[in-house]
Amino acid sequence: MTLIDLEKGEHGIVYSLKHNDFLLKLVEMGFYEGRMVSIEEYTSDKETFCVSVSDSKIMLRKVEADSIMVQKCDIKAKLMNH
Amino acid sequence: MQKSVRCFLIGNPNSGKSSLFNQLTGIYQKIANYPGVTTEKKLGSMVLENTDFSILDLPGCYSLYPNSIDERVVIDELLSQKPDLLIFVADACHLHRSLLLYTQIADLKIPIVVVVNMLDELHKNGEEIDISFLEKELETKIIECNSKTGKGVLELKKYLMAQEFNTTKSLFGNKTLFEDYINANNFSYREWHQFVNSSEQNAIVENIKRKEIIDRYNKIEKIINLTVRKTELAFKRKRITDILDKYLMHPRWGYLFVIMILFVVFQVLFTLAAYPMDWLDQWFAWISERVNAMDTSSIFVKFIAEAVLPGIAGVLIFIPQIALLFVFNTVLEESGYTARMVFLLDRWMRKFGMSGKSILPLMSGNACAIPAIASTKAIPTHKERLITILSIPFMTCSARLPVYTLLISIVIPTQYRALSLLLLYMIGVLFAMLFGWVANQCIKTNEKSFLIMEMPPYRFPSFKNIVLNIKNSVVPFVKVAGKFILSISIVLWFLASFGWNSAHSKFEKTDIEHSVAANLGKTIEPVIRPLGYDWKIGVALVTSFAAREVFVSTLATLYKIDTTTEDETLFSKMKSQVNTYTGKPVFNLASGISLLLFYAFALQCMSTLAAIRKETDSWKYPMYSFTIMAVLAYVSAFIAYQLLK
Repeated sequence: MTLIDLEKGEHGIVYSLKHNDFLLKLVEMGFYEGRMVSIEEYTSDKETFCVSVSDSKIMLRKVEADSIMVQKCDIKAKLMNH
Repeated sequence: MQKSVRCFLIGNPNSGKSSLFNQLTGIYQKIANYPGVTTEKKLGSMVLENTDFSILDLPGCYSLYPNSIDERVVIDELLSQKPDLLIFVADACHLHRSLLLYTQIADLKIPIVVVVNMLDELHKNGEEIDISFLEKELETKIIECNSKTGKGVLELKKYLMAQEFNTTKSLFGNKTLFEDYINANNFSYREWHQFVNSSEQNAIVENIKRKEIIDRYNKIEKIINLTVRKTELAFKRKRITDILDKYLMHPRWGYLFVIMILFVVFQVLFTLAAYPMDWLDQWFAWISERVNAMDTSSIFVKFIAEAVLPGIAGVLIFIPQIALLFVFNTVLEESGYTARMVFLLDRWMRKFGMSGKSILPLMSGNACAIPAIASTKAIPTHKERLITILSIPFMTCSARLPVYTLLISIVIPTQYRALSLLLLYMIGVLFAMLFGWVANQCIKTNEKSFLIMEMPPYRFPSFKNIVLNIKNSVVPFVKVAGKFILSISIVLWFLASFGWNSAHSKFEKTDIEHSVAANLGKTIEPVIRPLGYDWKIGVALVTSFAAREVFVSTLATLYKIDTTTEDETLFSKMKSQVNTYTGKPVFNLASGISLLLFYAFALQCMSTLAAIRKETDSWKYPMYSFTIMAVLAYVSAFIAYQLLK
């Protein structure tokens, strides 16, 4: 699944990035393998996303969010284990 | 002899570099709570104990691999010049990302001092940084600072005065990543950037860059884990930003808030500014009357009363409204709300060939098109940037405001005035979008557009910045427009007071109907009569060709000369004017709306044309803009007058 498949408030761990023209910019902003991300907000048609990564909120378009492959994770369970 | 030290101010976007620059140099560089406000380098200086420190404020960037024109400035400067010291501004709340850029710069072997900014905000979030530990890890001097309040600036100055600058340790050891590709040994990081900058980009190089960044992040992660500590509060506290975003970025309520905020801005802009504007208008009418009463036969007295005073009034009367406009612009930018508008409006902007990043330049266009056009450098794709540049002149700049205010006050009933102003602003936005849509269909490109932007936290706007922003917008307006308006008013007074007397074969004082200005105005009258204008408006259209605001002062001078009652204000004089062809008031609903539409579209601003030329590096685009907007202005004014007359 990719970032666009996550619902508001859901968390995921980045496991891969699809090759595209803005790959480097995504990595710079903190989207790389192993990082936890969560969906803060999206517009009604899921065209623009606001995603939390490394203590910041990043705005992404659908095409950029769709290039970030994630594995959905339960943050509560993760925190409890921690 | 004075020694000189060259410093570069560098850091991530929205990390507080420009605030620190202002603190150090005393120059005012525009600041806002929005990433990418500084798009051009700015040089300032300060003298400390016989040493001249030149400080170059560079645009913000996340890494040394640029994605836009403003980011390219940073690496170009770092490769072409060798500063004595880099003042690296790190945002304490986003240390992770700040350190990515820091480690890259450290590898360029330039001495660095790190200024950790916004620690107060970090503490409010329930987090702490062990600064002395971080200092040891990075092996560099770190200064805690609050660039808004000036805390830590003194310590930074002391450090600069000591001039003990050393290069810092490298945090990236994987040099083989580049060397294998280049097939060279002892390849420095600077040389790598020089190579990347001068050669064609390919998938292998992109992959090396990506690996490098991830490698750096992994090292930074370890440092962050040892340095940043989260307290109980960090887990318990619901951040204000999160609470506000729940409503302001809501898929439906968010749009409602955008409309409501804009409506309130325009309502206040019109109603609140009306009081000081009325006082100023009446005060100038009173002064004029007193001056004229001193000696009715003196030409000098007439010159002061009819040319100089209306000219000055034409400048000063609109200061309250322009100041208020800048207050709102600053509050929206400083609070962080502009970034939320980008989030909500990006998907709509794309339909018009622009991006969410076009929002700030377009909104700045409501103040002045020239800095707005310069700020498009943060837009990464050429097509979106070009369309944004050409759409900005449609936005209602502050120079249109005096014209709108004057005409609305004369032809629109009181209860509809604020709404009319809002509608004119909406027309500006609508046509900027329409132009964008057409341009988007015409300009074809293979360039991929993207929007990857950091959302700043909400911050309370600083009163000091609001005052400084007003000062920095009103003072140039008074200086530049003032000089321009005053000189045109004086020239115009001569043209409207003197005429050629063929009987005596000489220039002499005459009534306005036989003046040089009247002859010029009457020559162009056939072209403008279908729009509902008389020759005086024609003269005002010509004089305001270079700058729109001259329209008001031109009418003020022309009607001051052509008046019988000295204490009449400009508003009352304009209301009483009668069109000799139609027998109706010159300023009626039809001609008023026609004029409003003319000014909504006509690109009557030389400086904007020059700014488009500079940013597009071509005369073609300013010419396109001027022609398209002139045709739109004439056609819309013609249709409005013919339908409403």
